[in-house]
Amino acid sequence: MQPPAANSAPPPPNQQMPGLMNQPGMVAQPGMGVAPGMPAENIDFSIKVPERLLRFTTGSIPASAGLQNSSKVPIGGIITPLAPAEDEEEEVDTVQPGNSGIIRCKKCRTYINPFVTWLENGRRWRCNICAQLNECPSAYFCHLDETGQRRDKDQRPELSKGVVEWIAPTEYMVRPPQEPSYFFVLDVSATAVRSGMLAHAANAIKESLDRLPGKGRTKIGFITYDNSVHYYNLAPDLNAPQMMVVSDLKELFVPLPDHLLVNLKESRSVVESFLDSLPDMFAKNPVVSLSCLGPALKAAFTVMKQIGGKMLVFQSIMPNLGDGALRPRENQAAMGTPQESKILRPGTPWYKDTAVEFSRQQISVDMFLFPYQYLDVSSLSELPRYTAGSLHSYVGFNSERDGFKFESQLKKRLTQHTAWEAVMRIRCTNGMRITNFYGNFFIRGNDLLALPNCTPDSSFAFDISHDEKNMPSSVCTVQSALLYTSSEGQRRIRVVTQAMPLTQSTKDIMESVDTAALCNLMAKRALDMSLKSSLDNARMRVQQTCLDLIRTSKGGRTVSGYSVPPGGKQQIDKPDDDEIPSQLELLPLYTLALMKNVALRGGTDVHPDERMVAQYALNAMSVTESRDYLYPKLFSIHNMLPEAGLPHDGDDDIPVAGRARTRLPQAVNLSCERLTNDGIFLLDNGIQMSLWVGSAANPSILQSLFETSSLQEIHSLVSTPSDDFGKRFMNIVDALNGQGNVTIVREGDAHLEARFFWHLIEDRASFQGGTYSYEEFMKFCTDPNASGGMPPGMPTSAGPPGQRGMPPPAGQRGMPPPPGQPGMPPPPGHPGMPPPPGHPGMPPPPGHPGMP
Amino acid sequence: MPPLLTQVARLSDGLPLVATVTSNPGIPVTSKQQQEAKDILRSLTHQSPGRMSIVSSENTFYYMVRESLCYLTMTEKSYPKRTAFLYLEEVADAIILELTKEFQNDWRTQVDQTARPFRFIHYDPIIQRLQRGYRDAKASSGNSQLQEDLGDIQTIMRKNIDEVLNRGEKLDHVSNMSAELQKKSKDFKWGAKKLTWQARLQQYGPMVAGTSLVFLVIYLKLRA
Repeated sequence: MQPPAANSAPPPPNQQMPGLMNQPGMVAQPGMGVAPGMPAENIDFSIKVPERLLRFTTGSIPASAGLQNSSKVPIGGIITPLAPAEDEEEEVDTVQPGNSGIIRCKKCRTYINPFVTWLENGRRWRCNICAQLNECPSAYFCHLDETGQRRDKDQRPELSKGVVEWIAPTEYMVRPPQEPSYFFVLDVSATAVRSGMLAHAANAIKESLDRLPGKGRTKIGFITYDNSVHYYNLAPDLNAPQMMVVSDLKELFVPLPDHLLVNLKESRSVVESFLDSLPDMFAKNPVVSLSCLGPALKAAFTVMKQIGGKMLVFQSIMPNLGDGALRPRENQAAMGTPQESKILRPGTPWYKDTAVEFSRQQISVDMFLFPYQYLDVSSLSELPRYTAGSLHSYVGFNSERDGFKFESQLKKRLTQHTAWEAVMRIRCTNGMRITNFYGNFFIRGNDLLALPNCTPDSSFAFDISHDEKNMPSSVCTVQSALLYTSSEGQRRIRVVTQAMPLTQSTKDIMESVDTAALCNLMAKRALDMSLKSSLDNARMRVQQTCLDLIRTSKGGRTVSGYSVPPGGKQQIDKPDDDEIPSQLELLPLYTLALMKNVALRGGTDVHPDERMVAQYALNAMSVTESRDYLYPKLFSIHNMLPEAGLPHDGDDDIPVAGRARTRLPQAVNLSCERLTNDGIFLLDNGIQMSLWVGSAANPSILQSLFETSSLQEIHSLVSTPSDDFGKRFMNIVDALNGQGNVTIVREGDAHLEARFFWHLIEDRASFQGGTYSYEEFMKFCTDPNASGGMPPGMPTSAGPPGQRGMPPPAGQRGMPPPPGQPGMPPPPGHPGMPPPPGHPGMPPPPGHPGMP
Repeated sequence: MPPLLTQVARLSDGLPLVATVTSNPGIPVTSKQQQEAKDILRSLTHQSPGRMSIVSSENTFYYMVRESLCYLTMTEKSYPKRTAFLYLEEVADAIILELTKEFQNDWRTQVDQTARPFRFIHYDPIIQRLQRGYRDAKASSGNSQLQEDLGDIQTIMRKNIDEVLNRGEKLDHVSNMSAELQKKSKDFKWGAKKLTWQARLQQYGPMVAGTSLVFLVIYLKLRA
């Protein structure tokens, strides 16, 4: 066995020695909030779950409900249960249960973990979730050492690591492990065929056939539809697939059920010949704007329901026949008003009901949309949402521009590591409760997340709140267990356990805040609220949370209660400075970015479908993804160093990306003041990349990137650049997301440039509540009373394209220029990126201690 | 209709090794039937008859033991018994062939030592193919040669699923009774101890009381 991997915390041995007790905030201080019945736990807080799997908004948990209320910090976590290991050392240990089976608490069914307490020389153990005393099965017995830890601790990963994976015995199976199965439901209306979507889909599927997981058990099947549903018989002994058309949408009958979903290995040649002929088969389809998505889904469900698996749906036009037909609900007048939420909510319950039925049969839906007009994503997205699937949208799909991106995303979804028929449950120490879950799933019972599919991309967030006034124990443990079937047919349980100390002091809580995780949770809460209430309220809530936190962190050094341990006193006497603690200094920036993100921003120019796609994406993001998505990276390309775009060795702070450790160009602030009309800038938010080209950009650079020196003739990037500059640029693009898809934005392009400027979140935006620039917002946060606690009024006429000509913030009414902004942090350093130079036009705070 | 469910398990402890569920949308296999199959496989021992057909409410289970592996299938009630066993024979041949292909002569150890359920689930497509071949029982029954070979099948025992599974219940009952017995004997032991004490008290009690009375009298006398 290896020593606990991925552990940057203090060295593990010696857990119980008093030495560790001296470390502030690491160990629950004895006597704090411990009820008489409970012994002070022997907890080794150095056992940590890797951040890629589980992150909490704070490292210390308030010991009482009162403290949580007064500290205002949202307590919760974000779990990405299958996040891929970056190197071998981080691989999760697998445990084969012995004769005694998997050891679990008999009362609350918690899995054995490193944080349980062993008693009576190892004959019993106390559950760290419900405090139940459990007998240790004799086959699992082991003596304790002098510190009360089991002697075999280091040989057993389940007793020494935060993450383990159990091989599940038969009790954990309702049926034999399912086969990985992929069922494609393809729109073949003339719109879909003409756009080239169908050809790209067929090509991507064909190229993925060899890499579908499943070891020869993989099943595959197809249904196409326009105004009728077409089935394909793919029996292995056929030379070519047989097509069967069912046009009666009310009484769908399924012909030949055996060979509609076939073993890929056996029917490989038929499947390939089907995919080869698919684009031509419908080349002359006369059906342009009729689509019976609902009946097609029902048909696919009938074929799949015995097995379950992944259903991939490709849709170009609004479904308008049979069940699940939608109608245009777009209403320009409602945009930017509280009525907008109505459009964002689904128009029909049909998709949710269908999704719940799918989830019950272990079917997950990945939806690929190719909209040319309003599609009602709000209704359609219910299907992937409740079946734990994914949603991809290619607005105005253009074969040349989006084809490659679509193919690579489809291939990724098909070939990635996938967990089948999964369920997940998260438990937490009695006295606290998991109150809300965010992400894509269906909740069965009270708290069981049903996940027909779970992939390395699936992330879930949860809120934890106090159930009782005071915690009965001195530690809070959160354990999540994901039971799933691997593509190889193994049933496994991935158990993730993390213990956190409780604290009585606001300061401890504030100092342990993880801003990126906090913003992820804030964002997901706000999304929830934007649908239940309104976008305005959601933004208000985000802003209020940020203000509350800043205020608490500065003034809230009160220590509550009488059980203050000695030493807590001196915190009060510290001089009250105006500085925002370093953990929180990026909070205002991220908050501002969140309010101006497409998912939440106000105004009348965000298309409801566009907003829903963004909300869907954000709702399922992990912490690193949401950080990059909310605050994208902006690189200045025209003046990048000659080394940028080349592999860089060495562990210094020079920013690199990708497997080849490609050196990145200089990053700049997200403000239009940084854009110069002779410059070229690359913006990357993890989902999409845009390249802004200034009107006076250097023709030689244009030549090497686009093979044309005129701005007007630019269409797409050269795929295989010939000169050094172009090659280095492509290296950077590949290193950042590997999908090679970059939207070109020419300066002055009305539609695209407006959207590009949405990302420049340090500038003012023209909607209610978003009119702050970063400086103004910072000022507002540090001293809300100065501006009356309300967002400054802004003329709403200045649309995004006009922003660049906006007068500098100094001229704004009621907004004095910020000389010596207190505590103004630099823009966020993405990992390994040096802080870009400070804001132009903003004097650096003179000799402020808070400035790094 | 073809066989609806097929499972292969280790005889010694009923650990399932391969399993398949027909992807027939017409007749779904319920979780109750899955559970019944699991229970049957678990109830088998080396002492069980080598072949048996077990009648459940609307289906029939057939099982066969060969080389410490147990092969089980479930069909509709109307499915011919001969064909069912013919099918199981064929499954057994195919599985042993695959095992030999993958592990050569080592396969018995592999089977004995595995602890993971469904360790050989990747043979599932092979069984599925066989299962499909038995779709139409009438068509394959034209194969009269094989039919005759299977004449002896008539002698196979037929039992009701309740009988088979009740054995488990009976065992449970026996173990319950023995647990109760143990508990009672414990109580009894305690009672016996108590009784012994009482007996001793009765035997020596008066003597002790008398002696102490005498001493008390002497003591009082001495003081007085």
